[in-house]
Amino acid sequence: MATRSIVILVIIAAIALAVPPFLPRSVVDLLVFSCIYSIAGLGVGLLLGQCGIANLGQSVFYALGAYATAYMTVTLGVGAAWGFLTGVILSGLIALVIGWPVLRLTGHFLALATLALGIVANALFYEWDWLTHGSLGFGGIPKLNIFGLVIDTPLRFYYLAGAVLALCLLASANLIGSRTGLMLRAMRDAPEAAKSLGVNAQWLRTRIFILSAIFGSIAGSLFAHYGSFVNVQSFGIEKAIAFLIIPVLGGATSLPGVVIGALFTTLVPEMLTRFGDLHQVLFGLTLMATVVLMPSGLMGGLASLSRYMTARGRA
Amino acid sequence: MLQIASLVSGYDALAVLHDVSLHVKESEAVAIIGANGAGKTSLVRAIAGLNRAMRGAIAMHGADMTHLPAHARPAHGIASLLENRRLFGEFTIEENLRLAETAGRKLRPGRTKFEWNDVCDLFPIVRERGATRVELLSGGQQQMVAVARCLLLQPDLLILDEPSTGLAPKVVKDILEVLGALRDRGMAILLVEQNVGIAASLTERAYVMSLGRIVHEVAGEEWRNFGTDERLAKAYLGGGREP
Repeated sequence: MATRSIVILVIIAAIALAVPPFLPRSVVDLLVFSCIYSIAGLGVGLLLGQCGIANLGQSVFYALGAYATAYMTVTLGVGAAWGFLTGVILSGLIALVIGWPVLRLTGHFLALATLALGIVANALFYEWDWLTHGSLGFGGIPKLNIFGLVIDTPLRFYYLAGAVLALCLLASANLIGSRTGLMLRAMRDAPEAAKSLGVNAQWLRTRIFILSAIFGSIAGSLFAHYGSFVNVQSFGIEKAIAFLIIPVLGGATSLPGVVIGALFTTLVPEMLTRFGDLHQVLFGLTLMATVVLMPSGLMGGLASLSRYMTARGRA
Repeated sequence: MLQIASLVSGYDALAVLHDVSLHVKESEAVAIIGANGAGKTSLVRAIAGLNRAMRGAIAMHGADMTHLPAHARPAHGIASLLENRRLFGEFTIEENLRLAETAGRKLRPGRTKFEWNDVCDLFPIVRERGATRVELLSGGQQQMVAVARCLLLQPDLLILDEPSTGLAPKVVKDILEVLGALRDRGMAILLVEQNVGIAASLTERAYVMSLGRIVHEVAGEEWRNFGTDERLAKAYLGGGREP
């Protein structure tokens, strides 16, 4: 990594660690959601940026993580780790079983198949109220307790979610930089050539789909612990779209772009609420303007700006 | 080594190859020639597993691979240089080759014929410009990288789909020299080529294709004269040999 990138990374990490204690609780609350959505969006971003797959089913795995946590901790009364683990295993297995046949598809057919997965799962979450408590929801999910430290304030949860996000980013960066990452991009850019080099496209895509589902599940478990309550309305198609918007907006091929996309989708709507009923229209227009003006996402826009400033500085 | 029997193949439900049978022996160089639309590229794609075989059989070293997926075929000793090279343009030369090198080690354990240094000796550009993005190279240089990438799969049979297309005569000559050296080292080659002169200079015999069928097999004196005999070329290819 270039020295400049390391310096920027250290500065951002220092700001992320030092500033939140001085922010209002409501803003820290939004930052917590940004971290949680970044983790779920990261999975979608890996699929989109590295494999060229638009996944509209991430809300399913987000819900699985949340319900696994709720069921294990409330109904069965076991430790939080079991909730995380159950969610991850269930999500991984379902991603394997569904991904293997579905990932044979390409382009918009694949996007539609993942959308259908989200719709079917959402209907099941409503129907299986013995498990999910339907629209009434699951309450009383305990706060996380890590080695005796109860994570019961937004600030504490922010540091926890931030640490989990950092680990997920690190794992993703390692994946992208590895031979598997190279194969993924080869498969995305020239699938037939990749196959003729012995790349098993379907298995590779399924593996990334599983990883994406695991990220979704972890985010869902964190969400359940943070809010102490989950209900089926939290896992609708709007959430799946939001998870896809995050990497599209931030820059699908860029890991920091996913975090920027998540910050944008949580902070900007909140800032626009001062305009009353117009805030959703304004957010939609902001989204459209961003996508039109910065087709490579916010991260691509920032990179272009940086290049422009550097060139201007030299002139 | 490669045995194709009564192959019918094409795109989705549309058959464009009809009853194609051919073989390539160990260390043999064979050409497939034919006019545009004869089905040469479709044949390469069928052997590489990119087009489905509807009927017939494809075997390599006696092992049936008719219905094997494309990614499993290099393990049987086949490396295909597809039409238009299909390199990963955003990758560097080294990245393109490292992908093939690791695949070759994994898929063909204990059958290493070409080490990294061998490939660098054959194609000096790999050593000289390894960190250059492939999309910045000339067509001839890209073709060299594409052949190098195939070699690192450690194949027994190298299949080349029109490697001379769009290249300057000097570059074509350089590529032919490399392919000739590979043939002399015992590498079996199946060369798909529209330019009969090029094909005849490198191979020992040829199959002539027309409208998805093999219509003639040429060898020996006839094949050696094929490249220069306007009458023969016209009879089989319709338009005569290319300049």
